[in-house]
Amino acid sequence: MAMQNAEREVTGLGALTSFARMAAGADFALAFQAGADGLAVPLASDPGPLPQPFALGRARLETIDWSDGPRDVSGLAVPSAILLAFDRPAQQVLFVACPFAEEQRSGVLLVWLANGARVCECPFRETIGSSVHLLQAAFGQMMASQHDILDRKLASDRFHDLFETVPTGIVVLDGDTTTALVNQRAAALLDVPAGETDASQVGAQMRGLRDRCHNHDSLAAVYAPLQQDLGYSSTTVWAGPDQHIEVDTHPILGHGRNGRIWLFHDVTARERLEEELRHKADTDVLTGLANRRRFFDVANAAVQRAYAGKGADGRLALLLLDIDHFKSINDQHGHAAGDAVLRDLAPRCQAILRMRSRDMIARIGGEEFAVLLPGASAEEAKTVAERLRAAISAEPTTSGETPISITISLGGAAFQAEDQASPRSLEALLKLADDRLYRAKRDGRDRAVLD
Amino acid sequence: MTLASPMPVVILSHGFGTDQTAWSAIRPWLESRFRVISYDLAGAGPDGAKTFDFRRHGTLFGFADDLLNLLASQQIERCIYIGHSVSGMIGAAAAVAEPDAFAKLIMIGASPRYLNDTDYHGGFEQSDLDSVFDGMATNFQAWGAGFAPAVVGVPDNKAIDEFSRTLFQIRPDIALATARTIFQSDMRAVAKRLERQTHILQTARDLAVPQEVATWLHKAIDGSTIDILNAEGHLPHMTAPDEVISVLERRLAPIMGNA
Repeated sequence: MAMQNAEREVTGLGALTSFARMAAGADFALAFQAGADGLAVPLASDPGPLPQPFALGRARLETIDWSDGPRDVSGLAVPSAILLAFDRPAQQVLFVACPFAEEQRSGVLLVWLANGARVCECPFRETIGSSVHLLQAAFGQMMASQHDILDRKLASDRFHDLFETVPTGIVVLDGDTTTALVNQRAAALLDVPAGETDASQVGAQMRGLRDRCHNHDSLAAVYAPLQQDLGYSSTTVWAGPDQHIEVDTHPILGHGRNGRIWLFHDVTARERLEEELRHKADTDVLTGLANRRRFFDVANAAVQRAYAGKGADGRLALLLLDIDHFKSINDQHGHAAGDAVLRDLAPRCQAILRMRSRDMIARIGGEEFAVLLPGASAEEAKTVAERLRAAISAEPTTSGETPISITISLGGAAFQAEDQASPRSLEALLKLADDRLYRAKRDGRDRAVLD
Repeated sequence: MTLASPMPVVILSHGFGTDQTAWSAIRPWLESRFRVISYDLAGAGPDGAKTFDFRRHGTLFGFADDLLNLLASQQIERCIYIGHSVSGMIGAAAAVAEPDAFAKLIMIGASPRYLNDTDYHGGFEQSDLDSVFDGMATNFQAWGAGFAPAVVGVPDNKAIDEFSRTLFQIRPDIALATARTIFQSDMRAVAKRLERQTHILQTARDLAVPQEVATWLHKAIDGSTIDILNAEGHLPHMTAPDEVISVLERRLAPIMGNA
């Protein structure tokens, strides 16, 4: 419907342009719109075809007084696209300024060529200069509506560009449920033709893709309301065999019909990246151990579980571990050597702890580490602490340039759910372990204190 | 007190893939005889992204208007115009629009139409051009690496490096748009209307412009003269400057005599 109107209006401006040309006895007439940037976009011409857009440049046609009729082209800086549009030189021009909206340099340009073949008997030619205002009103109105059509066309072109450029597969189901509009990405994903496609085929392919997903059961539940609820919308990840796709669906509101849009966004790479970032956020860069943040997350959860547990499940111990005289290692051998000591310590501690899979060691400060021993009694914790101490003092670290002998001090604390005297929070456990670590340092280092 | 007659003005307009530095080999010779003005076409040179407008420069007339604006802003009433490649037809358009501004035109490796047509051999089929455009759009660097030595046409590494430098200075989307404008242009009607003294300079073998095209231009432009250089490639002003200078010397002699 809209298009039919548009065509009639194009013809209207075209007809008016032809009329102006013939009435004035000109060889060429061109209606164009132009704004502040001086780029002229032709809207109608007689004869055709419509020229390409051109720059008005120095031509200040709209500032000239045309009341004396056509003027000689020389000195007017008429754009070369106009001067060269014919097989003969252009001799005279006349401009009818038709500014509208933002397009203040718009107008109709009439051109007379040299050696004009037609002898002009038209009465209008002599008086056209004083009649310009008559044309102005009619052209102004027509060009403004033509401009709107052009805008709508541009909007539709832009929609198409957008539809095909966004990194998202798009399926738009029409309200009548017979046709679907599918962009290239969605077409590739669903193995259906792009563009206007049979809706039932698209639907079948979507169901097929969904059924091949690992989470097809929960997806079926997610989309069950679609049968009854036309306003239903959801965002869900389809965990396919090759890729993870985030699928959005919304009703399309608008002209009273119940359409629906499906957006398919490949999140495989994003999920991989998120996993990587999660890992990075939880890891100490130097040693590759869990970092302080991760330790507190895990320890808090473990303490909660121990409070609720009984027997072995109600037990938990933690150790704080500090390298003795670390500052002097740094001072004597340099920070690179200090870093090497820290890096070397991590796997050696892990080797001791590996026997109990739930144990965790984290670097929580410069040369300070924390060990979490879920399910361990005070006695077991003491054994672990002593084995750690002995293993580290037994041989020097060799990862740096020179072997460096180090020792560690440890302080530990244990929790037992049934024991009312046990510290009742992670903070209290850490405080106790820290006090004992301080005692181990004060009593001469290279030792573990757990009571 | 004597009034020295002003030196005639020479305008140098470069071709696609180069910028105004392409003239450096023949420029000293010109500068001792003329007032020389060169410029960068829209899209080319260090400021190319700022000067190029995708709609305005969608036809060669946009470039011709730029040239006429330059003449106006420099208050040049009459010039000798030397245009390479696409600038040949840019100059032709400008000289048809404002004939008085042009005393003479020299076109190096110019072509009014690159596509073959009935009774016209431009050297390219549409499929050739489409694969050029596809190559540019897919990987501009890779395309340019193949295009540079082919268009230079002689094993002159310095010229190939120089051409590559100025080619890759163009933003890829602008390069593609410019290439489309140039290769899809048909300026034959404009060339036929050119009424200024025109000299056509063409090498014996040129990837972009077959010799038939130079002959066609020679026939189409009334009173034009032509030299087929004893050189190869599309950029003789870079790779065979001495041959180009000797042609200029001969062809510009009458004008120099007047000055």
